[in-house]
Amino acid sequence: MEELVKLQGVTKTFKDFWGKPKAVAIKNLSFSVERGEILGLLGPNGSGKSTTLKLMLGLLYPTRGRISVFGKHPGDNIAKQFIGYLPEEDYLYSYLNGRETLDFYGKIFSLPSKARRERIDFLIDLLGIKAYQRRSVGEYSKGMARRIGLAQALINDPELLILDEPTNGMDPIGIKEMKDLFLDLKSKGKTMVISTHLLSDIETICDRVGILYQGEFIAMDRVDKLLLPYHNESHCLEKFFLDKVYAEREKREEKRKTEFSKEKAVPAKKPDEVDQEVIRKLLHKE
Amino acid sequence: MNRRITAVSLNTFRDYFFTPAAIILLIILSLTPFLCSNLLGDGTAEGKFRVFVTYSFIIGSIIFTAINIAISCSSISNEWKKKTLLILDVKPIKRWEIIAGKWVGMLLINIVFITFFVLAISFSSLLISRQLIENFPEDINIFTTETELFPLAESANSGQTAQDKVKPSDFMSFLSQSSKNIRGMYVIPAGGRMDWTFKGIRLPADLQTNPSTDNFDNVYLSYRFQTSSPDRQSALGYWLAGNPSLLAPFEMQTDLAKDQVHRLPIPAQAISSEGELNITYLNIDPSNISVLFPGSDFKILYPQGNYWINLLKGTVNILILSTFIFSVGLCFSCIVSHLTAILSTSILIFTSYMYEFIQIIRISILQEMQAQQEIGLIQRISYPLLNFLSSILPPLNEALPHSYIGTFILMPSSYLIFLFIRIIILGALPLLIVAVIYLSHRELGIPNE
Ligand SMILES: Nc1ncnc2c1ncn2[C@@H]1O[C@H](COP(=O)(O)OP(=O)(O)OP(=O)(O)O)[C@@H](O)[C@H]1O
Ligand SMILES: [Mg+2]
Repeated sequence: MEELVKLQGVTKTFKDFWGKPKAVAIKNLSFSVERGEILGLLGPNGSGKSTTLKLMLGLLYPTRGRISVFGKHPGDNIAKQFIGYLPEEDYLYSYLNGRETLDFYGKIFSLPSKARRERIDFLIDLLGIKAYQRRSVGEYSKGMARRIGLAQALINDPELLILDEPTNGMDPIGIKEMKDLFLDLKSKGKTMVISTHLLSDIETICDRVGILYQGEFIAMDRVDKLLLPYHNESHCLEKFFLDKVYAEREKREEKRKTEFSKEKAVPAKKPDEVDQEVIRKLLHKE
Repeated sequence: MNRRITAVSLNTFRDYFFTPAAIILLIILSLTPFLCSNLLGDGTAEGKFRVFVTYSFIIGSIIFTAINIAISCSSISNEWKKKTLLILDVKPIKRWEIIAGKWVGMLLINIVFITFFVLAISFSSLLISRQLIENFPEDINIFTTETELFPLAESANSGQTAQDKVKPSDFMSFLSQSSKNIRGMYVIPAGGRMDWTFKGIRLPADLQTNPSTDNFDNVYLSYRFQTSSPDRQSALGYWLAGNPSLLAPFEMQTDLAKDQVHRLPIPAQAISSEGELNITYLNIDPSNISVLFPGSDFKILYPQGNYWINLLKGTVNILILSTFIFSVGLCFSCIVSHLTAILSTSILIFTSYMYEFIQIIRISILQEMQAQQEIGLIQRISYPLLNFLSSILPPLNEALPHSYIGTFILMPSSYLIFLFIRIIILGALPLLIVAVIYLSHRELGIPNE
C-alpha cells in the first residue's frame, strides 16, 4: 500500500518569543496513512489532534522528526494541489457570499471558469447549501458555515482530506448526511484523516483509529481489532476509549504522585466519581 | 498575471472598497477640488489658482496616504487575525503571490480613487479657468505658454468644416442597418464596366414581398467616387443591379457630384433568395474620364435585425464609447501619460476632438429636429447626452497646449505623477513590511495571542 502521509518521531513544542518551551503538544509521534483509508484521531481536549493535522499541512513545523505528504515536504505546492483541509473553525471571508467563497477558492486552484461553475453547483447540491448560497458568510449559523467550509475543502476534488471536527456544530440530520458523504468519498478511494469527538463517527466510517493522550498515542490500530474484546457490548468504542483514557491517566497520576512525594509528602487527589461523571458528559456532547 | 493573483486582488478590492468608510472617503475626495475651487486666495488670478492647486492636493494626498497605509497594513494582518490565512495557505498558492495579489488589489482601489480625483480636478480646473477668464481677463495670459508645441494647431482650426462630412442620415443608418463592404480601389475607364457581387445579404422576409417606402427599411448602395479630371465635378454613369439569374436588371442613371457619399436605393427584388446581389457600373461619361471607387466607401446597406434592438445597441454603444473615450482620455492623461506633458496635451486635444465630433453630431441633429416636425427616438435619447458631453469637454481651441485651459489642466495633473509614484511606494512599503512580519513565519498555524 502506498503511504500518502508519513510521520516519523515527530515532536512539536510550542515556544514563546524567547524560545522558552510553553507546551509540548506532540511527543515522538510516528504513524502513516495509506491511500484509500480513513484514519480517525480521538483524544481529550488539548491532546494534540489539531496540532497533528496542522503539522501534516505545513501550517506548523515539527520541532523534531520528519513528515512527508505525498512523498514531499508538507506545504509543497504540488502536494497542496491534492489536499483539502477543513480547520477546526470556519475561517471564511465574511463579506463574500457562499457561492463567491467557493468561487474564490476555485480560482486559487486555477480552475477554468466553466469547470469551476460546474464544480460549485455540484458541491452546493451535495452539501445542501442552495437555499443560502447568496447570503454573506458572515451571517451564517455554525452548521451552515461548517458546510461551506467542507465545500471549500472539496473544491479541488482532493485525494487527501484533512478534516478537523467536521461535524462540529451540525444537527443530527447534518451529521448523518456528513457520514453518508464520507462513506461515499471513501468508496471513491479518497483518503481521509478525521479528528473528532463523536465516537459514533469513528465507529461507522473509520478504518483505523488513533487515540491521543497528551501528545502520545495510547492506542492505534484497526477499529475492529481494537474492539475485539468488547465485541458483544453496546457503545463499545466509548467503553474502550474511556477505559484507555482512565487507565492512562491513573498511570500518570501514580507516576506523578511518586515523583511528587519524593519532594513533598502531600497525597495527591484521586479522580473521584463526580469527576468521571463530568468527563462522561463532556464526551457525550452532541 | 495568473488567476491566483487576480483572485486575491479582487478579493482585497471587495474587502476594502465596498465599505462605508471607502465610499465616504471617495465622496470627500471627489468633492475636495470643487470646494477648493471656491477659495479666493490673495485676490489675484494667480493667487486663486495657487490656492486651488495646493489645497486640493494637500487634502488629496492626506486622504491617499491614509487609505494606503490603512490598507497595506491591515490587508495581510487581518487575514492573520481572522485566520483566513490558514485556509489560504494550504491551497497551492505561493506566499509571494498572496503579497502580489494584495498589492494589485491595493492598486486597483487606488486607481478607482485616482480616477475620481482626476475627474474632479479636471472638472474644477475647467470651472476655475472659466471663472478666471471672466473675472481677470487681463491677467489670464500669465497662464498661457506661447510655445507652439503643435504645428497642428493651425491646421486644425482652418480648413474644411467637418459639418458637411457627417450627416444625420449616416448616423441613423449606423443604427438600423448592416453593411457589406468590398475592399480595394476600383478604376473604371471611359466606356468600361465593372461588376461587383455581394453575398450573404439576408433580408427580413416581409421586405421581399412588400417593399417598404420608409427610408431606413430599404436596401442602399452607398458609394463615393472620384474622377480623373480635376475640372469635372460629376460623372455620368449607369448602374445595373440585379440577381444573377434575372435577365433584365434594374437600371439607374447617375450624374452626381464627385467625392461625396451617395446613396442609391436598390429594389429588394434585385437580391436573390440566396442573398446574392450583382452590381454593375457602366462608365458612359461623354468626356472620356475614368471613375474611381474607393472600396472602403463602397457598401451595401440593408436592414437587419429588429430596429428597436439595433437602436438600443447603438445607443449603448455610443454611451459606452463616449464614456470610455472620455474616461480613458482623462485617466490616461493622469496615470500613464503624465510622464511627459506633451503626451498628456495630445490626449487633451484628443478629448477636444471628441468635443468637436460631438458638436458635429449635435448640430446636425439639431438641424434635423428643426427641419422635421416629428422627432425620432434616437434624437430624443442622444441629444441631451451630446449636449451634456459638449458642455463638459474642452473645445479644441481652448485645449491646445498654448491655451489657458491646457495650462490649467496640465499644471495640476503633472503633479499627479508624483502622487501616483508616491502611492505605489507608500503602499508597497508598509505592505511589504507587514507581509514580512506575518508571512515570514514559517508557521501560520500559531494563533495570535
Ligand atoms: N499556538 C500555540 N501556542 C501554544 N500552545 C499551543 C498552541 N497551539 C496548541 N497549543 C497546545 O498544544 C496542545 C494541543 O493542542 P491541540 O489544539 O492540538 O489540541 P486538540 O487535540 O485539537 O484539542 P481539541 O479537542 O480541544 O480541539 C494543547 O496543550 C495546546 O495548549
Ligand atoms: Mg482541535
